[in-house]
Amino acid sequence: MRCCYIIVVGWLLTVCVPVSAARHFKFSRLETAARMLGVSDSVRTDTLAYTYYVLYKHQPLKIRQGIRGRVEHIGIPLFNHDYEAAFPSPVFECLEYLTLCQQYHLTENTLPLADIKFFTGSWSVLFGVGDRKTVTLETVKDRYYLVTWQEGRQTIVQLALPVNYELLTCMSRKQLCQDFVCRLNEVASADAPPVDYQHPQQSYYLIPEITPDQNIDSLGCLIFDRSRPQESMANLMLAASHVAPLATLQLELVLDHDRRERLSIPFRRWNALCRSFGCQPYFGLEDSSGETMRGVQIMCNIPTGYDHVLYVECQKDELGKKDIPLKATAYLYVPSSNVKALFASPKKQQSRTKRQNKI
Amino acid sequence: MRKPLLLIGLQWILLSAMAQNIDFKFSGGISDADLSAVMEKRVSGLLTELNAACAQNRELQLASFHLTSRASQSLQLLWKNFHFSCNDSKIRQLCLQDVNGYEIRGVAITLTPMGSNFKGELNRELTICFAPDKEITGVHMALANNSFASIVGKGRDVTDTRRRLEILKFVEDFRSYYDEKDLEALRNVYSDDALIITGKVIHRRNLGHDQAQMKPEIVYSKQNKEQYLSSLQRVFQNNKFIRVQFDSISVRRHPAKAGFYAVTLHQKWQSSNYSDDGYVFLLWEFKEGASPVVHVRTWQPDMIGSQKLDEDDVFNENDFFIP
Repeated sequence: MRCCYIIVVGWLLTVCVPVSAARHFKFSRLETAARMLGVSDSVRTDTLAYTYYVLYKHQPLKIRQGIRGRVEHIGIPLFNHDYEAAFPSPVFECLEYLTLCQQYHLTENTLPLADIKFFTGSWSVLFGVGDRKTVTLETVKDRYYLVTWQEGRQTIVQLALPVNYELLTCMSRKQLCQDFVCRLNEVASADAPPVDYQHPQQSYYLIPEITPDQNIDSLGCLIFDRSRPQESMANLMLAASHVAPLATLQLELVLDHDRRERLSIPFRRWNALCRSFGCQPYFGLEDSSGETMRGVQIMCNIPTGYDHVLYVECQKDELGKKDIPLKATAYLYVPSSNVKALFASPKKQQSRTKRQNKI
Repeated sequence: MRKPLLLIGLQWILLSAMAQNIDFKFSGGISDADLSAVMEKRVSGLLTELNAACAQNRELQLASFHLTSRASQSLQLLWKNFHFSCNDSKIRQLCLQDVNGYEIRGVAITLTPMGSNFKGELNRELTICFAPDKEITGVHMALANNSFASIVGKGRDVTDTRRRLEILKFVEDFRSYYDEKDLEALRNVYSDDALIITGKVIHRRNLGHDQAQMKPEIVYSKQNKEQYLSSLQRVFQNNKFIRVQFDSISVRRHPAKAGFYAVTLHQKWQSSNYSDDGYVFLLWEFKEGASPVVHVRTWQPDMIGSQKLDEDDVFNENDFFIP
């Protein structure tokens, strides 16, 4: 009997204690920050998604847990919760985290901080501003965010930061790609319910032919009909997950360093994952003259400044199938801040003499 | 007995004469002369066969035209519903290239419907697709003329946008290799014969009538791949962190060389002990089934003294001869 008791206690000690003490951080930078600040023990271990505050050197630290209780954000509270909820933006957590890093010297690499220009105030003023002040967030020409903290009519801090996905996510391109591919592999095999989505109306990407508009019939229903392949394909790419027909994506990811990764994923999950990152789908048909239709789905993350580009192929005669096979190539994290200036007409030969260099 | 045979023979000759030989040539869009000659010959042969089969009201004989089995099947199916013939004996069309191969569009044809209930447009256009190995992968009838131009035009706009985004992805990868100080990745991106030109502002003494002035000007130094990578290695070693940012990127397809793209951008270089701003010109080559490579990289400061560098002085694709 005593032997059984010892075994049970031993098992509880070895299994339950580490599980209860496990703290999951979404990104290694957050784990490093918690460790450097010595607040790892204050990070809660439950699996609920919510935001809470802990005290560090008499100052509150804001910690947000996401799905499965993973820590997704640590920072100095600078924004009112209601304002954040009403106008979600990557700027809030970016500035809260960077203020934390700046104040407590959590990162050696301060080069990205040079992109943040203060018109009024400074990092030290920002550190003490708290989350009770009136804040306004504006975008300037889709290239910059302008953030202003005011008390009454007096501006306490005003700063600008560029719409740059690496700065706004506080992660490098490499880390972002790795994280996205990792999540993609997780959802490819998981039973995660698709996230629903409302598409914006009457807007387009660079050219009107790449749109978020879906095609509806005279009764107002979305068209998914083999006899109207162009409309059906566009709807498949754009529709909310629960109304779109089933489709499976044979996906080739074109990654850095000449790497290519292939995976098969239900198309609804690709859409749901991209949308959970804040992307909005746009679609343009490239060719539908033959049996194969080709088009491009652009998962646009306007607030963060990047696009995922999916070049997708679909056979017309397979549109009626229960699970439509799609073949696609994906290019991840294409910076959208440059996209508007992307087009240029060929340079004319200049009239003045310029020596040609042989390659 | 002789008379009917003679009449049949005469009819055959007449029909054969009506089914004129088609001479198809590219009007541009392809630089490989051998490839172009083979494709032109195949298209000419195929269109001549379409005309002959239409005139003689017979099945198509496609065995000698190098069609994939799928393309052949699809064309035979189309032929069951429609016969058609080319309107012109001399056809000149552009060669369109995409990642899947080549395309010829806008070959004008006239339909002869097989049933009486067809009420559609009789004048149509044919699209012929080629794989990179010169095999015909599809012969399709395009939409009616009035909608063809607009829809295909739009499709091309979409394709163009998508290709530019793909290029931007590679440019962004290239930028991040500097941030990561990944010399090996950069070694793989630069072609072995890459040409690297770097500008530097110097102040030259300019003797005027009454006093000497210091006039700023750019001097350029030329490096090959190994020289550039060696100096870059030293920069990587001497700087704990490097941050490179690109903006105002423009992409131009090379007017003469297929697969070559010119990319001009504004670069902001930040490192632990140095920073600068300047214009970078990159000449990329995109090859089918291979990673793109950079043949030329130039850097010029965006300011010469207090003067902004004139946009026309930024290097471009016309400054380099591609053999």
